[in-house]
Amino acid sequence: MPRPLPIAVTPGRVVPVVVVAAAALVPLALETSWQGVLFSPVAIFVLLALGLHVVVGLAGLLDLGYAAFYAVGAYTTAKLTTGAGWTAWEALPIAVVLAVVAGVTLGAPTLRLRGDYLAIVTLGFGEIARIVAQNSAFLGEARGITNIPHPAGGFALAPLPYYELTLAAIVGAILVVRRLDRSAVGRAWAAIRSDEDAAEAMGVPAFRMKLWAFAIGASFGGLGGWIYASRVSFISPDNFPLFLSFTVVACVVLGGLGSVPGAVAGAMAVAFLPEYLRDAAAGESLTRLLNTVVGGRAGNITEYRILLFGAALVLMMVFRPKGLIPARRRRSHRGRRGVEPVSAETAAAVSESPGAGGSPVLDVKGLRMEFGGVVALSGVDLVVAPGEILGVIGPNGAGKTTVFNCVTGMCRPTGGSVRIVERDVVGLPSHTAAVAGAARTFQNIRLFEELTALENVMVGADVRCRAGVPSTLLGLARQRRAERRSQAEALGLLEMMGIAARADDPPSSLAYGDQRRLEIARAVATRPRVLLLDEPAAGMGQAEKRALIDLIRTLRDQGLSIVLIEHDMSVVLPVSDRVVVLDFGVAIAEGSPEQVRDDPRVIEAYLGTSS
Amino acid sequence: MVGAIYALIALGYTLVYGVLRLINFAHSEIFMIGVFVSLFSMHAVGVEGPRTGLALVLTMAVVLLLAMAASGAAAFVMERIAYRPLRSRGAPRLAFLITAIGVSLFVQEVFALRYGRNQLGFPRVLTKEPLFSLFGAPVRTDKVVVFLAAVGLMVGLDAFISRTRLGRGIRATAQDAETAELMGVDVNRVIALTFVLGGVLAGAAGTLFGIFYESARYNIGFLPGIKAFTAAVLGGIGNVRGALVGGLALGLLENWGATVLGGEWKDVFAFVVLVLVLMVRPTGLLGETLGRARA
Repeated sequence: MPRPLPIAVTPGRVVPVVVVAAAALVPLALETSWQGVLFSPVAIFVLLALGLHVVVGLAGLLDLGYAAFYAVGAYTTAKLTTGAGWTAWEALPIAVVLAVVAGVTLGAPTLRLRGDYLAIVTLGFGEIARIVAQNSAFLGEARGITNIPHPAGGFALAPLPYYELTLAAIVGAILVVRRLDRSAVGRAWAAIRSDEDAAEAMGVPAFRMKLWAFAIGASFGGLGGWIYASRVSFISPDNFPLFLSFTVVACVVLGGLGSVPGAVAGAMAVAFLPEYLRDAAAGESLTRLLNTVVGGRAGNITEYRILLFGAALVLMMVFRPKGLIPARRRRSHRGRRGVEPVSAETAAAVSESPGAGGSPVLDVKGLRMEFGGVVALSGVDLVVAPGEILGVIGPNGAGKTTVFNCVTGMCRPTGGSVRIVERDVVGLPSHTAAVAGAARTFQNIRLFEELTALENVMVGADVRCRAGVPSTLLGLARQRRAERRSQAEALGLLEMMGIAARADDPPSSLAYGDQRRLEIARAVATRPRVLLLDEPAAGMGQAEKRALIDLIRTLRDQGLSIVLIEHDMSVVLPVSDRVVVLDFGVAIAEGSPEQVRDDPRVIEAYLGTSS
Repeated sequence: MVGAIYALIALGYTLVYGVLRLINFAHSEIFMIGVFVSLFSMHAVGVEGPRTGLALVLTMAVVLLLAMAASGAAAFVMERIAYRPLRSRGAPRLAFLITAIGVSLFVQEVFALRYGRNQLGFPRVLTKEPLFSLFGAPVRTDKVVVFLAAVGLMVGLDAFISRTRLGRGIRATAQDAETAELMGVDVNRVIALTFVLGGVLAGAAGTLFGIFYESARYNIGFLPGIKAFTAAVLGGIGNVRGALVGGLALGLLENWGATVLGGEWKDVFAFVVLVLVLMVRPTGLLGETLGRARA
């Protein structure tokens, strides 16, 4: 009787093994010239495309100077081996590290800014790197650096060993990318891509995560540069032209943003097709056709390479923005076997974080916010006690949402103080508010569209046990535990909200009320001390509103304080312990729901003067 | 006086940014088209040596107009083909950047394949002899003419945006596209117009650049493009007068940098300025508003 294999044989496991084996063995049968093509450009481009995939596809940052990191890796190798007498293998770690240093140096000043700036700064950097190499005697100026030694261990001029080495690097890179993508790190990147502000509000340190993406991408580039320099043993600024960066962008975009098979296929197509068509009959007639259309005098198709990439980029974005092999919708089935939902009560309980005791969980004093000349808030005070439900009402434009924005660091108040559980958060990045214990929902629902419902909640849960990039890469037990705990808690919260059946669906497919509940679940998952709800009842029917009131009370009974912005008096008045009325950026009344309801100033603010 | 040329190109970035909150990377190719069309039209009107007087004024007017028309048309087509389909779909910002790169590569390569990858020379139309001396330093004629022409165009744009009905449409759209649309502004038309305006100015910059540097090449737009973008950011992107201030300031800084560090580092210097501005004051010298500025 055959014994069952220790590892189940599934197509998902067999196919990659077959592909890698074929990629490793088939070139043995090819002529040397084709082996050379397979090494460079094909294999090198695949490696570079995987690096850029992390930056553009996963983190959503357009890097137009990616070839510069490749150049840093190659030049570091060249200098260390020819100038300092290192061996190629000794130079490898330094080449990768310096590429990462370059990435972080370039990313640190620009990643806080909007994506457009990053694109142009990286574009400039790519060119600057080349100009520096060209003008610096240290780097050999335009002549470049010659006689770079091959690595020890069977590497000489023949391309095949380098191809196999690059293939190994590619397999490693794919494993790294997949592991990251399926962890809290990948969720954080997807959240940033979908909605950076909302991600920050859920405690995702966006800047740090983007910097990581940049560093990882740069490290692949540096590795590629090391392999390339070792193989060709001669590099010059001409090896790193500007369009090299664009070509790698083309690989990633054509294949399908955010998809690993896409990046690989894109790179293979972009690198291989022009080489293949160079001598083929189809290539010749295509060249003649293009020569007629453009009025050019190109001898073969490779001269049209960049023109065709350019056209393909535009056509792709206009007609098929998801690329040739679109990224699959994320699913979170994987690894859910054996994960039992943690009961909502335990998940939301705050017993873990005692500390504060009876002192306020939220203490806002003299909050001022001016936009240009417009004063949105002029000295608002809000104190929320543990376990209290505070209603905030007021006419449109009274400044209610602005209070939330200031508390959660989405805008920086021009005056006053905000303390969340005794921690002063003014001027700190937005994600610290979530870490300090304040989580919010948004008036216009802002869920992460690129993640499933369950993953949306997991992003919130990750805030307390976010495993960093290093522990994810090393696959530490701590990281796996954190992953399971996030999943269990998120499932528990979905059950509590009655939407567990939709766990693997995209948020936009949920009914409106369910989306609101999902957003609340996401916020509760950060285990806040105070939950800020911005018009949670908007668009809800009577039955849903009653369910919402019950939900708010349940959360309070589990120890949460709640601040509730709401227009609907049938929700605010029954549920609130205390109500504050804002008008024109100041609190005009405060008291029990009954007091506020009968206060003449409130009636005036809502209905105008009665005289 | 190259600062004035940067400023003209910078206006294109700033106008489009003001209205769409989008950096049109392909703008540098619009400028490149202007340089090439200037070259062709100079050949067409038979420029063989420096001209003076009325002949010079007429030649420059013809060349300028042709270049401006060509670049404006190119910008219009680009917006139609590459940007509008994305806009109507509500595509993510990244998609716009990628198409811009695509357009940029495509246009560059068309010129490279058609006219070769080597530098093409311009006939000299404007003498480089000194026109007059300022505090003992000779001031070259071409510099004076280029500077005056650039400033004249910018003053014209300023007046157009602040005085005319179309200019008001641009400002309204820059402030709040949705409301502008509700108030009956045809936002699509305003956007097309903005691209055309930016294109026209880039075309003019192309002519002045050609007269000044007397060379054309398929990738000639790249560095002036990056520098003009730096100028736009330095002055405050989205701010018309900021582009002017930024352009002139960058021109001076760059010349100063070249004297101190050596000419081969001149291009690096502009880039360092860009990174420093983004780090220290990303809204630029004059702030970031086309909508609010009176300009």
